[in-house]
Amino acid sequence: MELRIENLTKQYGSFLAVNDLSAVLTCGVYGLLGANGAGKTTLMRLLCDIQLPTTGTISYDGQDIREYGDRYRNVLGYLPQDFGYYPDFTAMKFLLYMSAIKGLSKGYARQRSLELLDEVGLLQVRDKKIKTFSGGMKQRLGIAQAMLNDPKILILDEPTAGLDPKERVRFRNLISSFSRNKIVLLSTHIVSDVEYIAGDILVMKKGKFIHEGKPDEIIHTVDGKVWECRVANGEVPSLEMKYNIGNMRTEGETTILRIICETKPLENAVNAAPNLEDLYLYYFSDEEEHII
Amino acid sequence: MKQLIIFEVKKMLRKPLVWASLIGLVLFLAIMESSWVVPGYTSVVTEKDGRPVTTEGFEAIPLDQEICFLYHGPLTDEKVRSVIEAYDISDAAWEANKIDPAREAHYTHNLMYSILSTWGFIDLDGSYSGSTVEETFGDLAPGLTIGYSTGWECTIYTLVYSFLTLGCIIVIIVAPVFSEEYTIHMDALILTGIHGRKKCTLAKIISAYLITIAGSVLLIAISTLLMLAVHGSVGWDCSVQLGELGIFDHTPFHLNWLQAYGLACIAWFGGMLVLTSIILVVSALAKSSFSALVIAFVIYILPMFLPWNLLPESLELWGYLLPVTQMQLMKLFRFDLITLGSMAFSPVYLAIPITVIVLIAGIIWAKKGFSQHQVV
Repeated sequence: MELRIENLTKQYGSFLAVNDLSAVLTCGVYGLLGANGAGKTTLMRLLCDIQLPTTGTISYDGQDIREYGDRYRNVLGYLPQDFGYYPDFTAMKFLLYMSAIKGLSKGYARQRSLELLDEVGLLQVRDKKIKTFSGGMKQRLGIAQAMLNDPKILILDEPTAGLDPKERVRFRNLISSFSRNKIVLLSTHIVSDVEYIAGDILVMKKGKFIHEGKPDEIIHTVDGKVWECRVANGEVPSLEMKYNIGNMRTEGETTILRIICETKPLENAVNAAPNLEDLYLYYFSDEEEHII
Repeated sequence: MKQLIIFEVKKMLRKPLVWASLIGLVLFLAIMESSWVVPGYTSVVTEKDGRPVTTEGFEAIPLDQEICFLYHGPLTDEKVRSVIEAYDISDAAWEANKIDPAREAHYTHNLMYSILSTWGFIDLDGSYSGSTVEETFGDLAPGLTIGYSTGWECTIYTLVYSFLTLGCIIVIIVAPVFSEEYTIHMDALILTGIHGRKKCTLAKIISAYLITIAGSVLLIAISTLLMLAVHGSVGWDCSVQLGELGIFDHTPFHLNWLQAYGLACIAWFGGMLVLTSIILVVSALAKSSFSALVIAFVIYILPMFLPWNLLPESLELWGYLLPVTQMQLMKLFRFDLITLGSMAFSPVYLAIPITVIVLIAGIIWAKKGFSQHQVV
C-alpha cells in the first residue's frame, strides 16, 4: 500500500501553498511538522481530495485518487483542523450519522461507535448533546469519527489541539495501536506528539518538504547547532534579542540558556544533544504567523 | 439511504429558527382561516321589524346558502333582476337605522347581491342599473354559473397567502442544507465519506423536496378539510368570475371553482418545487448559510415587486410563472387560454414542464455544486 505524491502544487493567486511536492508514503505513522502557513493543511486537503491541485497528482496504489473516487474515500479517515459538528446531535447520533455517510451497516455502525466512544473516553456521555462538550471532548469525538470505517489512510490535522496531557497520551496510544498496516499522517505543533508516535517525520516549510526521515536522522541535521550556557540573569534580555533561545531555566542569580545557533554563541557555551523541539525552533523561529 | 434521509430531515427541522417560523405559519394560517373561512367572510343583511339586521359568522353561512340555492345555475338577466328585487330592503328600514338609502349598494345583502353589485348590475341606491349579462360579460355571458361559492373562493384566497408564507419558511429550511455544512466546517467530513458526494448529497436534496411536498400537502389538506366542514363542497360548479372577493374576476375563459382549485394546486406545487430547486442550487454554491439565506430570499421575493405588466404580453406571462408570482395566482389567471393546434389550455399548465425542467436542472446543479465543492 502506498500513497504517492508527484510534483504536487497548489496555488492561491500568486501564493504557493504547496510547491512541487513529491513523496511516497507507505504503512506507518508520519508526523508533519511545520509552522502556521507552511502548507500542511492544504497538503492534507489535497490528499483527502477535497481540494483540487493546481498541478501534480496523488495516486493510491498506482491509481490517481480522483479516478479511485468512492473506493479511495472508503479507505480514508480524516480529521480536519476546523472540525465542525451539529450542536444538537448527541455524540452517539453524530457517529451514527457519520457511519451512514461512511457506508457502515446500521448494526455494525452502532457497535463500532460504542467501541470508539469507549476508546476515546466518551462512552459515559454518548447521549449528551455535543454543544455541552468541552473543546477536548469535541476533538476526541472528531478522532473517533475519523476511525469509524477502520481507514487504511488516516489523515489527522492538528488532532491533539485542545487535548490535555492525559488525553494526549491516550490519543498517542490509540494511534499507535491503530496504525499497524495503515498510513497515518498527522500534523501538529506539539512536537512531543510526533516524537513519540511518528516513525517518519516530514518537515514542511513554505510549501516544500525540507526534511524527511526518521526522528533520529532528522534531529541529526541540527547536530552542533544546539548550545547550553549559564549567564547572569541581567544578560538574558539582550541575549534573547540576539539569539534563538529554545529554553531557559533560572537558578538563583544565573540562568541556563538553550540556544539554537550555527556557531558557538558564548565563550562558556557547550554543545548539547538536540531534540525535535530544537529542530523545530531551528527551522521555524523566523516564520510569520499566518494560516492557510 | 433511508437512514441518511431521516438524519437530513431532522437536521433541517431541528433548529430554533425553523420552529419559530413553523409556529408563525400555524398562527398565520389560524388567523387567515378564522378571518376568511371558519366561520368566514359570510354576512347576510335581512330586514326584521323594519330594521336591517346583519347576520355574520356560522349563523350566516346556512342563511346565505339557503338564499343562494334559490338562484344556483346559469346567470341570466331575469335572474339578475329577481335577486335585486328580492333583497331590496325598504328605504324606511335604512333610515330607521340612520343609514343613507342612497348608499344601499355598499351594504351587502348576501353573496348574490354582492356579486351583482361588483359587476355593476346595481346602482348606488340599490336599484337595478339596467346592464345586461351580455353587455357585462360579452362572449363569456353564455355558460356563466352563479351560486354559493364563498367556501371555495375564501379557501383559495387563504391558501395564496399561506403558500407565500410557506415559501419564506422553505427558504429558511432549505437555504442552509448545503451552505451550513460549509459554515460549520462539516463539508470536509461529509465529502471524505464514501457516500458523502452521492448518497448524502441526494439524501439532502430528497429531504428538501419531501419537506416542501409535505408542507404543501398539509396546507392544502387542512384548508380543504376546513372548507368542506364549514361550507361543504357546494358551489364547485360555479364560475370563478362570479366570486364575492373578485380574485378571478378577470379570467377570460370559462372556469369553475373546482377546476380553478385544481389549477391553483398545480401553480402552488409547481411554485414550491421550483423554489426548492432554486434554493438548493443557491445553497450548494453559496459560501455561507447566511449568504445563501439572503440570496434565496431576494430571488424568492423580488419578482413580486417587478413591473411585469410593462413587458409585452408574451414576456409578461413568463414573469408570472416565477415561484412567487405563480403562487399569487390572480395575475396568472388573467391570461387567456393558450392554443396549440386543436388544443387550448390554461397558461397555468405551463408550470408543469417548467417545474420538471427546473427540478431536474436543480437536482443536477445542486448535486454537482456540493460534490465538487472545494473545502477552504
